[in-house]
Amino acid sequence: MRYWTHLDMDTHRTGFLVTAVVVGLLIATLSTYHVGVLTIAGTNILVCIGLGFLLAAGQLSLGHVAFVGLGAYGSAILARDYGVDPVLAIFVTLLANLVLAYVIGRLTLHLRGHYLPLATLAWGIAIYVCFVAAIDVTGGASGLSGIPALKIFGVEQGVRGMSALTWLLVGLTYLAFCRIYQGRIGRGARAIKSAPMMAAAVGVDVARVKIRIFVLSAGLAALSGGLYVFYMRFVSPSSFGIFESFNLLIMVVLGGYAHPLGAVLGVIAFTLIELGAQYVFANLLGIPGQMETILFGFILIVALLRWPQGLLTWMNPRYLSRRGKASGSDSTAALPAAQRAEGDTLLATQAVGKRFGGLQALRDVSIEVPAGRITGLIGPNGAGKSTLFNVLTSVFPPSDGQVVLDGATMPAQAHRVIRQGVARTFQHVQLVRELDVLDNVMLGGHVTGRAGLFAAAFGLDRQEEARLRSAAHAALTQVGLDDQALRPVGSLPLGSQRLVEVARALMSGPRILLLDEPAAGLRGPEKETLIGLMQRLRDEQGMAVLLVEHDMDLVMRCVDYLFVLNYGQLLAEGTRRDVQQNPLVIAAYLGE
Amino acid sequence: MDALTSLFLLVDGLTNGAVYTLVGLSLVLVYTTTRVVNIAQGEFVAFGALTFATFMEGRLAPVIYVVAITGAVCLVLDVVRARRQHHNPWRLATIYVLAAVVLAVLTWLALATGWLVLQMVATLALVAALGPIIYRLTVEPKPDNPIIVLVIISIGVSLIMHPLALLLWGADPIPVEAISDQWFDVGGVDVAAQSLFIMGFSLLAAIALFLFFNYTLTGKALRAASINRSGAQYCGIPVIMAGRLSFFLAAALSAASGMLLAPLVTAHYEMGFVVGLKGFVGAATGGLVDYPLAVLGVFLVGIFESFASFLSSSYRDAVVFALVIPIMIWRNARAGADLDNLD
Repeated sequence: MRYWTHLDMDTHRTGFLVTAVVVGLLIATLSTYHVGVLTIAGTNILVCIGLGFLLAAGQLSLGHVAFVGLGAYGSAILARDYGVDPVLAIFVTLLANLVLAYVIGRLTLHLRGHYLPLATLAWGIAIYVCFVAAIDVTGGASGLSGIPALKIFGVEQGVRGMSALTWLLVGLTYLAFCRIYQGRIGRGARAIKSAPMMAAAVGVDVARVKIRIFVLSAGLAALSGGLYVFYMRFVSPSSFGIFESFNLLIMVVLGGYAHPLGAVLGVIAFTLIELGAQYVFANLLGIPGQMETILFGFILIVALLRWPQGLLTWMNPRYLSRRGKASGSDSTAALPAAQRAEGDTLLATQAVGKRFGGLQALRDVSIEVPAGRITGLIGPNGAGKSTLFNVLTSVFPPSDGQVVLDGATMPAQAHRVIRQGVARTFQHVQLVRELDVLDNVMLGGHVTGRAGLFAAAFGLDRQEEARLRSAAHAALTQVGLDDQALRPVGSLPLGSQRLVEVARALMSGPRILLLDEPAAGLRGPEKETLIGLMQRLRDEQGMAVLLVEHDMDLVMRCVDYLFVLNYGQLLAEGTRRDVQQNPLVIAAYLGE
Repeated sequence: MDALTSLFLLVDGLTNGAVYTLVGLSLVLVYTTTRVVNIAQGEFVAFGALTFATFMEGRLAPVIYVVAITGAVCLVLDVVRARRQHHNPWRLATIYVLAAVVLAVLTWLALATGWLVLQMVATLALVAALGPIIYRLTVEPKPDNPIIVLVIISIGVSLIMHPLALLLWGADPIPVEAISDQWFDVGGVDVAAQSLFIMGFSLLAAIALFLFFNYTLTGKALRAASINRSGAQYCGIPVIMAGRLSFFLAAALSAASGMLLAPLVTAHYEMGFVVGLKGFVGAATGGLVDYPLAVLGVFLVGIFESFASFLSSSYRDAVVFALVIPIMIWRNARAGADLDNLD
């Protein structure tokens, strides 16, 4: 991919300040009509930033306008009919929206990906119909007027005041989201989008993070609605129809959602195109209204098929989100203090079986992975090695038997497994392609951090981030890739990507490390690094390593004990020599 | 509410349900074979109704220009792709020409004879042809797009088709004569023959789909493609063809639903979108993958709608769409197959 502009941190900062000054000047000098356009754009940006982050986590809401509408009507009615101070009214409505969004998120986000768009679409229409129908409360189709002005320190805010307030909040939200995107939850969100199973394996509580992001975005929508209504001093249902939700979506997709800047660009581009198209269609071509919608339909489809990153394609968001990271690696830093493996640490399966429909993938498999030993697991393709891996890490539950860790049953949820000190890699490399190598490794430290959305937004996660960053450099040094830290992860050869996965697994300071074919695609020297690393982890930290591998040469050089799987059953176990001489194993590998 | 009113509302609800059945089945068909949650499905209902209405007026349905132009674009794209992959483009071109001839002949027959049956067949063929065209233009370029991207693309299609219908047919509703204006007396309630037609046709369509999927090779191939795309591809089932076919069938079913619905509500460019969404609420009962549950769901939606409109007409749609919440609770409770299994 070729980038037209490379924005670094300094350019970004300068750009932000210049934009702030320009917007300030525009608000002070433009005609009231144009200040109005600017204010509406600002309220849209607020919604789009939240919606964009939701999309960055791979979730789609088609009913966000309902939250904007509830924010608008709620604060308008509180202020107009109950004499509540507008600022307080906005705040109260916002809280109510958070609760509502939590309920909707709770109901839909545990389910598969297509439920959220459907549920929010239906919910959006239902709310819209209520706005029209509840005439006593909302004034029906003709709307509510006579909404009091918002006061700040007793001064009533007119058009320009509301515009300034809106854009102040846009600026703050933008900065907060710049931090959130590159923080712990931001990485987790991108992991959820690209590979939910991997996200859970590094300790991201997938459903919970999705719900939080959804609730946050609904809160921003409600805030936007509140600002809108005290700027307009009038509200009617027509602003909250389902097609308005579609428009918000177009703005987000048009701008791109890999960085909050996309929302800003998308809203500005949408507003300009809409104004231009309406002018051209109505005044020059004499075509009736609604036709600009066709244009937006085309833009939406072409953008998604051709430029899925939207306008950000030409801004290279990767360079927008570097916080002093290029300052060089600090490879002297240690990995997170490994939860030092006790002598009796033991991961074991007890007579585990796994059925997929009529297919018996595993039958009566009992293995042991004790501390301080490199345990090998080999077997022909389709023997059930990866299934066993997935059962061990609670990706799916065993049909029979159980997985035992230190004598207790393994937690059933995948994201809790890593909290027990069990980290893994994947047979099919699962890295987040939008992030660079360092961020991918830092993702592995998710479970050792605590910072949430708010800590990131207010910059309270700096220390934690710095710790994770130096740990990530240390982990990369261990696998011999620290010089590649700032490259996009997709540009690495496959073998190196596997080593990045190993580094990511080390970030959680595991007691037990499960490696699924880590050597596939590795070159000679890289294999040496891997073998050295496994031996060091075993000898220095007493780690339990389980190695699934096809490269027999590598297996026979480093494992201490071997299990052989064939057709889902344990064929043999023992030391290298025992297994090498076992006639059953020889038959399975070389044929009868 | 007395028993007679209830019975009347029930019949009304069943008629609604039958209309939504066709759309609900289309949605499940498209989702299972292509993973597209097709927000634009309802637009085919409007296109079907409006095309049928213009044929009944003895005029050439303007949708034919849309089919011709977009079809030509697809032909060019396909020929370019075939040449790049060193396939023979002539075979492709022949198929396109054949399809064009069939559509032209059907349209001519519908106009020349004025027979109702031919008008219906021509309507179905023309609107159904839009299905694979849209699939070719919006899904085929990147069939592995994530589900949410496919949803957004279908919204784009809806944003194009909606105003396009306005442009082609204007904003005024077009009245459509019922196939028969007879009424029957069922337990003291007058039932329009049209309602019976709708229910009968929906039933037939559901049975036909069932037979198609269970007893024909093509149907089984479609099912295979929906269960495991790459697996089906390895078995030699052309997944692209499966996608085009399911879009074709879905468009035909939805267009049929529009033709049957039009006499009850007049043909109007805005009639389809909401019908499509109600089909979604119903189909969500079956998680968008289960045909029998989807049918059950849309009848639930239909009956709910008719009772809600009796109790409070202004809140009718709010009640119908709020149904999604109990449906979600139920899906959560059933969980299992439906939970995000992280793959």
